[in-house]
Amino acid sequence: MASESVERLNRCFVAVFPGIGQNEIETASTDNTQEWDSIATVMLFSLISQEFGIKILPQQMFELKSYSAIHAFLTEQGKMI
Amino acid sequence: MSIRLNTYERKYLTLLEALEIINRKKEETQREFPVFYAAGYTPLHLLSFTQAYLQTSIPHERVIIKSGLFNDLIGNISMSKREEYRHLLIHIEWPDLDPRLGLRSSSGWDLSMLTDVIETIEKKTHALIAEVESAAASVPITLCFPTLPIFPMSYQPPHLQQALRLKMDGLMHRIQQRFIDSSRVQMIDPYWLDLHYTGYDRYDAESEISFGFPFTLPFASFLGALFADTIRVPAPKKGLITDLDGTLWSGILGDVGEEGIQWSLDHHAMHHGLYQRLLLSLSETGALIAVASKNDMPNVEKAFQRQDLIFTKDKAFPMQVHWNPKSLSVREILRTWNIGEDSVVFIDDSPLELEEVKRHFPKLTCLRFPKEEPKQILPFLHTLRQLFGKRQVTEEDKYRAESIRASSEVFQVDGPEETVDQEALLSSIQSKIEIYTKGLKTDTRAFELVNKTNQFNLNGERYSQSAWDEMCESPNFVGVALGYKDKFGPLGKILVLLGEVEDGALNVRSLVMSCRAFSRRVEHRCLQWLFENYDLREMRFHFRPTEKNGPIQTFFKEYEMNTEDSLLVLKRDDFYEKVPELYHAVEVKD
Repeated sequence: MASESVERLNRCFVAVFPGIGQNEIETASTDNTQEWDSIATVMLFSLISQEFGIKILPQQMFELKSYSAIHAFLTEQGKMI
Repeated sequence: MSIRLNTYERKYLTLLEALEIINRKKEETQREFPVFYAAGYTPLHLLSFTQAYLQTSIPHERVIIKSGLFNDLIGNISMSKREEYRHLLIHIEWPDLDPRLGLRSSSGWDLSMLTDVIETIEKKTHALIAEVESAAASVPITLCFPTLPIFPMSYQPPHLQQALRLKMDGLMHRIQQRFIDSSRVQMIDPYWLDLHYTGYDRYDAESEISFGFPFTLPFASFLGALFADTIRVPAPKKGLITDLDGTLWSGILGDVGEEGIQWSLDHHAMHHGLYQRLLLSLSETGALIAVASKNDMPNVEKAFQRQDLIFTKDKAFPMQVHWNPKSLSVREILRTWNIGEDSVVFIDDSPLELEEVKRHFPKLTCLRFPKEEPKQILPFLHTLRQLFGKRQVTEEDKYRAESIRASSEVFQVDGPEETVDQEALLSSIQSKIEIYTKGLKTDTRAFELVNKTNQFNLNGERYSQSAWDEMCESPNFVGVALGYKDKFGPLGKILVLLGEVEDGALNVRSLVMSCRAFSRRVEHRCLQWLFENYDLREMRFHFRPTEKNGPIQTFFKEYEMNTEDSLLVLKRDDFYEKVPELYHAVEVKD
């Protein structure tokens, strides 16, 4: 069963990419998700900042280009419990 | 989910919650509610919050919000005229009036610039007023004035009042003065924003630099809720049920007696006194006030005899005073008033009582009186004003409470028919109906009735001001408003019917009647007058069942019309065969 943090991260992805399938979330990246443009990036990271109570710098936003990279970043920040 | 702009005990949406509301699957068949959002900044999250709050208040329509180009407020207002919108939201920020007031301008803050800034703002203000006036001719508008702090351009210390600042505010006041009496333009009061957020808590410089979005998320959520509530103004609540001990007054009546209860400054109970003042004021503007208290009635009678009580007993009806659960009191009060629970607010100081009532009436707005926290009294009172606030007080508001009291004493609302001889009663009350067929377009009471009536409502259709104007001007339009009075007093205008006549048939698009007029056969008299006056062959009711329009369905069943159909046809002969005896005198007023 997914942890509460993973579920919350998944909810953020579904909120920004409403058409994404449940099995596509964890493999999502800027390369395979057409809707992942600059506006979506701002939306996604604003959501994650608010939901996880962290600050993400604009330059970091554009470096974190996949679900797995974001997951790793949040783990590093001690937010994936 | 019901979201309202309560500042007291209100939870605002997070961005995730807002996006999830927006993403909920909509039926393609749902009618659209298009809004244009004119701003000079990138609306981004503020647009999402506005859309989400608005969508929750208009669940049966698809809210669509369009915005214009970056850094072109006036151009965006102009752009909104190219398509039809139900509402135009205009948010001015200082850089829209002069880019030098924004973070993105590269010019310096030299002394000579200050005078020039004022001249530029003045010119832009003229242009803005002209553009808003032009747009207001075709669409209702919400106008929001600068919410973000200005940079310290002036050489003066920013904590002191400055000529520059006064002039800037003066120009904004000029816009406010221009539109304060307009029925087409609503303006958000900057003071209201100041009460809730300081400038520092509103502004996110990093977000503005990176994305052109200058607001913090919490402030954006607050502002989005405010925008939504001005775009779709929630119907004012109609009734308030109040507890007594610890709420209307301080102290337990049963313990301290009528002389021991307090609401004055001397006894540190002024927050109860302020609450009483507000109740009195609400009552005078048409709100119904009832009492639900666990007490002994003789004690309460004595307490209400105190001459210094601000809120007096004659303003409270009905009084439910006993030791049974409060939910039973609420049920009885709603039955007497004959209004739905979603139109009523329940106030008690006890969380337990609030919970008990909320379990039985989930749509009731339940608020805890801040007995132990006098500092919360101001947000609490502001919230009540918001829930009951209206732009104007009508004649009907002034005698609503009295007419309900008279009705409940004479008519058996929801009561067993056999308890009263209806024919004898109706024939003896000297009822009179006044029919208005002209001036409906500017009749604010008729507009209000159509937009707030739930129970006796043909289809739940609500009208924006522009849709209302359009309907009133359409070819073959027929619109009537009915006023009613009898020996117990006037009810004011209580019924509105809108439609169009075509080849001897009346297509009825809207038919609403205030619940205060139930049991008087006003609706039957209305149809009879229409059949006669327009020599109609039949009436076609464009019906839609709603959660609350049971009373009009009952009415149709009296004429054996099938409410599973969406078009209900009433032939003239069938009407005359089934119409009950009518006793009203009729006067056509125009």
